[in-house]
Amino acid sequence: MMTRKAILIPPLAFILRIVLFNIPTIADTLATRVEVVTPITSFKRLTEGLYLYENSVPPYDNGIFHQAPFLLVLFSALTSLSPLAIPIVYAGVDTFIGYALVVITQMKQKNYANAPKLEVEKEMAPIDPWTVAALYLFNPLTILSCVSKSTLIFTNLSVVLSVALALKGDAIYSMFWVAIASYLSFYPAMLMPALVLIISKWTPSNNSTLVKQARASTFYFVAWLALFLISSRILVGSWDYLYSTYGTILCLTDLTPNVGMFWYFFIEMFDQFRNFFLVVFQLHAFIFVAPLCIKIREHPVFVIIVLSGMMSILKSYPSVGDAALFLGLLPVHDELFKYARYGFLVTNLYLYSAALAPIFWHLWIYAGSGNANFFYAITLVYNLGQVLLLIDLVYAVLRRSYDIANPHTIGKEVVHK
Amino acid sequence: MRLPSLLRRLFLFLFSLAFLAFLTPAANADGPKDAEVVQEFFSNGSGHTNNWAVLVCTSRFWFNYRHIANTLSMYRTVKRLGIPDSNIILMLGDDVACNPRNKFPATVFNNAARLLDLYGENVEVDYRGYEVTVENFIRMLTGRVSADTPRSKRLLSDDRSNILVYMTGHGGNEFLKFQDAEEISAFDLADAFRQMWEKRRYNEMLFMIDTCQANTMYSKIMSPNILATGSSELGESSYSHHPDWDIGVAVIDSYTYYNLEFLENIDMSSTKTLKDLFDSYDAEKIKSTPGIRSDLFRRPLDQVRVTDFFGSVQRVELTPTRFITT
Amino acid sequence: MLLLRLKEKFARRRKPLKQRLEQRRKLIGLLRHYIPSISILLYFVGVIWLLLLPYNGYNKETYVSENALLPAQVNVYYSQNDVNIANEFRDRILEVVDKSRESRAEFIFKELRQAGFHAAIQHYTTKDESFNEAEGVNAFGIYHAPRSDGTEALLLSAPWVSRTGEYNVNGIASVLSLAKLFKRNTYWSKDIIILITDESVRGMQAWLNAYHGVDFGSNYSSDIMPRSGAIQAAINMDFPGTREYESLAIYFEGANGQLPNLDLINTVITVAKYTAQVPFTLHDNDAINRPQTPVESYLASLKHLTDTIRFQALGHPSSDAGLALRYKIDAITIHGITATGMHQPFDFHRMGILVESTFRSLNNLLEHLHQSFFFYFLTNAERYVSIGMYMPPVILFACCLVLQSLVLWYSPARDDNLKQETGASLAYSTSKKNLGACFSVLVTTHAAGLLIFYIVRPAFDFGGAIVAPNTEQVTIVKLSVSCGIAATAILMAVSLISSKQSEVQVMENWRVLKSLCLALTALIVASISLINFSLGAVMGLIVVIPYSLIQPTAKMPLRLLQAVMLTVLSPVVTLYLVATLSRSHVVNAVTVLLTDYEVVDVWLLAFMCTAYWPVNMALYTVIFA
Repeated sequence: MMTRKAILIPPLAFILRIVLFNIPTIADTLATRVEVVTPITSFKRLTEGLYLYENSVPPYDNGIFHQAPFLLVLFSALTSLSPLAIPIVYAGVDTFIGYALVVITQMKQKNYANAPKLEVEKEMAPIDPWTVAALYLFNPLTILSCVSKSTLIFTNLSVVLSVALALKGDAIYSMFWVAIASYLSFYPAMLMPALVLIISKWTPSNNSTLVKQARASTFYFVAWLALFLISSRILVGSWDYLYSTYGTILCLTDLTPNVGMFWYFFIEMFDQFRNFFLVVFQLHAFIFVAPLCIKIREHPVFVIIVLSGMMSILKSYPSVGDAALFLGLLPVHDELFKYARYGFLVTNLYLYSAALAPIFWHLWIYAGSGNANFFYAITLVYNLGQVLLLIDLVYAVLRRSYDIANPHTIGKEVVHK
Repeated sequence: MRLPSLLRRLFLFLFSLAFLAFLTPAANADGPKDAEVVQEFFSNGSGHTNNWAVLVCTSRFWFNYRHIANTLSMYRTVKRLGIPDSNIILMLGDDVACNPRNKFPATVFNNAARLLDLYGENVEVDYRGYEVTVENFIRMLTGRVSADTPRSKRLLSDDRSNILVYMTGHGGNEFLKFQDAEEISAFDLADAFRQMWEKRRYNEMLFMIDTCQANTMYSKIMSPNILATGSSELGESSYSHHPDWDIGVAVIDSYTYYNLEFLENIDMSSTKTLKDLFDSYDAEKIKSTPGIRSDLFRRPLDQVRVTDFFGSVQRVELTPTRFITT
Repeated sequence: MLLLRLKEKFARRRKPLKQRLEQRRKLIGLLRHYIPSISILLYFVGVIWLLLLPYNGYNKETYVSENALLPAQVNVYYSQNDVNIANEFRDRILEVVDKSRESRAEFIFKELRQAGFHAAIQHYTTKDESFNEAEGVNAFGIYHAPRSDGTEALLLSAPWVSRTGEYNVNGIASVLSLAKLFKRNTYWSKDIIILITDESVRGMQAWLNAYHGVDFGSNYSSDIMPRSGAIQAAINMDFPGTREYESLAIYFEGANGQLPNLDLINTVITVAKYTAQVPFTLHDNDAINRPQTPVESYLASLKHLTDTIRFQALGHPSSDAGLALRYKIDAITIHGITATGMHQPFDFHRMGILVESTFRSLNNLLEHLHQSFFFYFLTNAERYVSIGMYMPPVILFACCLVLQSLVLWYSPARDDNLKQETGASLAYSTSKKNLGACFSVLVTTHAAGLLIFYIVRPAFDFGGAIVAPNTEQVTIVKLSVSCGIAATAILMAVSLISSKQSEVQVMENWRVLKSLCLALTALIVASISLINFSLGAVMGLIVVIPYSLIQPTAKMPLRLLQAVMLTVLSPVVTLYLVATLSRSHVVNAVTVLLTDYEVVDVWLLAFMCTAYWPVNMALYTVIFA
């Protein structure tokens, strides 16, 4: 069980992150970079809210703190421990996410061992689970997101844990974790139907139908969520935290630039159209759940991957941490990679946007010779890369299913009619 | 037959009353003839009893010094020709007199010779700086101002007012730029004038505009009794006349300069007509083609005195006889 | 229904499937065959395009964009009286100029205070040539405009030592006489700051850092540093010696290739043309003898262009004024080229009216200069090339590299002859690329690059083991250490990539690695050219063809040749060549690089070590794979 990779990778990842935390220029610069932290995940804003919370002032009064109350409790406990606690917790959480990915990959490979597959796949070994973890842990985007102390890491942890527990068949705790993710970040709620699909498809000794399972899971989800919301209300003392957290996410009250599509539109939006476009944009993020769950119901883990990709593009305040989650979950379905057509292009798009985003930000804010259009253009390129990747993935899964169902067509050109 | 003596005396009394009434001379002159005279008095000329001037400079910033100078020159002219401050609405988009870049502080000149300080004495600016907006302008014209607007900012004209509307600034094809932040279009202007006509807020109007492509600005006006003139045609720019090398900016625009050249020779008693004024325009000297629109104006231009618009000269007729009013 | 019918109708017109597939295969084969040559062709098109930039038919005449400036439209009042004052200052400066820094600064401080300025002396600490702590003294004064609110300021500065090495006597005298003239007038909408800097770049940088609150290490003659508002523009006067001048030279490049707004240069040129009527030029080129023939004019423009490229590619500011650009202050230096006696010279009078009229125009400004270009090349003082016109060549360089990378990436694997009879290929591809090995090579070289950067920095003194760091010997030691690290990294990388490749259907490692390297180079060239076009263009020019030609061969001589080519392109040898071309020693070149990095925050050192050198090292492994 303990392969060479399993022994080397977690400590290496952990140490790398701790080392980077201890280089102040890197840690401080990253904590302010807009590509990595957003108004709803920024550690600096969290410290603001924490200060108010610890001095018994309503923490949401300052208008800049938009994160969930549980984080206040967690961080007030951490800061009271020692200054080293926070880097250790972040590095530890990231490493644990890597481990959770290993579990997911193992369970997925176990479940797919007897699924129909292509001829060529029968000889090929599936990807090593620890390679999946390594791809997540040593992805520069993940490292950047971790070292910036963005609180998105807890959302990512919750999502990954909920998938792992769903694969294990544990409906209650899977819903617990997805409820935590939704509570922290709102958008992971769209993962719930896919998780239900996972639970109902692969749980051993499960005699309940899909509908029954769905009903039960929804009940658990709503119950956990209600519990969290009510306990937050008790913690903070009033209901106005809902407006500061979910209100900001939904109504975009903070227009700080980020790598998403929303801020630029809403900077120049006339007031009379604002509500309409807010509804359209937010719906757009959620609208892919139903079609994906219906069409690709055979591969619910894949649906989760695609939805996490959708989240990283269509959220109101995305950051590279969302892309890190998406790219981390991606290798779980490694059999799709051979169908990918746009690998070179997508990699180039990611690299160019990663190189040019700081440059255009510098030209806009510091040199004064550029303007917002430069930065927005490069975020569009970044999102284009992600969209192309998603398109490629969906093509791959559909084509693979087709090839498996019709093995006589392999090697022939398939024409749509 | 014999009437009763009482009845006879009654008849006699009534008859003498009627005879006396017939003999009494009338207190006034004959009614119909008098009304005619009054009517003639008012209709032989323009028919106006008071004059207003709305002078608008829509530009701000130091390098638009000449627009402020244009407007202040017209202000001086209309004041000199008799329109009092209470009948002038002066809108200046910026204060160049007190701009730190002004080498001659608290002065505004329209000529490099600097003989005449337009800002010298007795200047009442009604709308200043950021108050010069499209909304304020249209509200002032149409009279739809808020209840707390001071009297000096209201255009209190009536149906016997002749109004001079003079605008200067930066403009284009059917628009005029206000303050570098908004525009008024020719349609807005025409609409405002139409509202004024419907509310009978003017008798006759002279609309004068000095901007680039100015003639397009009055192309949409459709209300009667409006005479319009502009400094340049569509596609032409309007040019400044000359700079002042000590102040460092151009101090007057060409079109306004030549208008002033004519108007400086007018005083309140002058009988020069608008036809003389328009005939004095020389497109070569002005460096752009000024335009005149008179199709909505009911009087022929050679019968319209310059002072009908630029001054406050009422028609006075001395009668040989005295009218007794009892 | 309609759609289906339309599709059928068009489907009938299409050729049968077999033919279409055959055509497609041929097309792809053709592309794969010709793309390398096409990309080299693109490179040469890019080179020719770059050479087209100085051609007067391609570039445009400059014009003043900002309406508010109104250059050369105002009378100037710098009169004979002011010339006399300047002459007097000149004599008094000559007395002080050889004395200590302290007394020089005291002199300026007294004069400014007498002129009515709010004057102060700044004592700052900086790093000298050996990167030890050294002190310097600046003197400056502020005239708060009486009728304005002091939120903006204009800066007139002069260094003690001119770029020619002589003392900047005339420059400082002129500045002081202008200070008196400015104080007499009240038409200023911005405050005036007069600054006399010590030690050229160091003094200016220290003052700018202190003024903008970046560095608090200075001491002042007053309790706090006297400050005004945000500086909108700056003119630096550099008029060496005490003699007259024949032409005006303008230096405008800043650190890291940043340039001021073109309107500032246009204003100064307009004023020089019409008001002051002095001959003007860029850098130190000939202003008097205008080129007669088109060929001469093209060559002169090319010289201007290469001067600018030289400064920008090295990230080196061409004058003190260039340091101000980092703080969004548009600044240039005007330099007097000493008269050789053959043409009509000019002296304080015309210098004075030039600066006075320029400042009157700058006074008219309402906001930062933003209307005109920030990215341009000047082929002569009155002609420019805008970014839309000069960017395509570098994009072509990047395209050339990307196309080759693409072809290498999708080239067939070694044993891949699985093609179906119908000619259609599979929807999936099972060829494996040994990405792991390639990534480990790249990671190794980048780590080596980081380590080299860490060592070569002036702040690194081998952990205190060296007594006098940053002397010549230490620089040579550091260079050798870096070469050593590079060589080690290359050896490690070669061993990584030469691992067994006996599996079938594995693409040769070198193809993947070369593809990655070329793609990475394209990324670097394209990204860098956006912030510092000259660096990107120069890198593209020298690197594209050699990198495209790298291939592993069995023949030893060819391998050696390629290795030599790569060595010539590596930073150390490039520096050596640059130093030899500028007739100095490589150690001087490195010192300049390090000084720039330390004092002026030029990132060329970091770029070379962490972006350029690793790719160079990685390509060695391609040769030996």
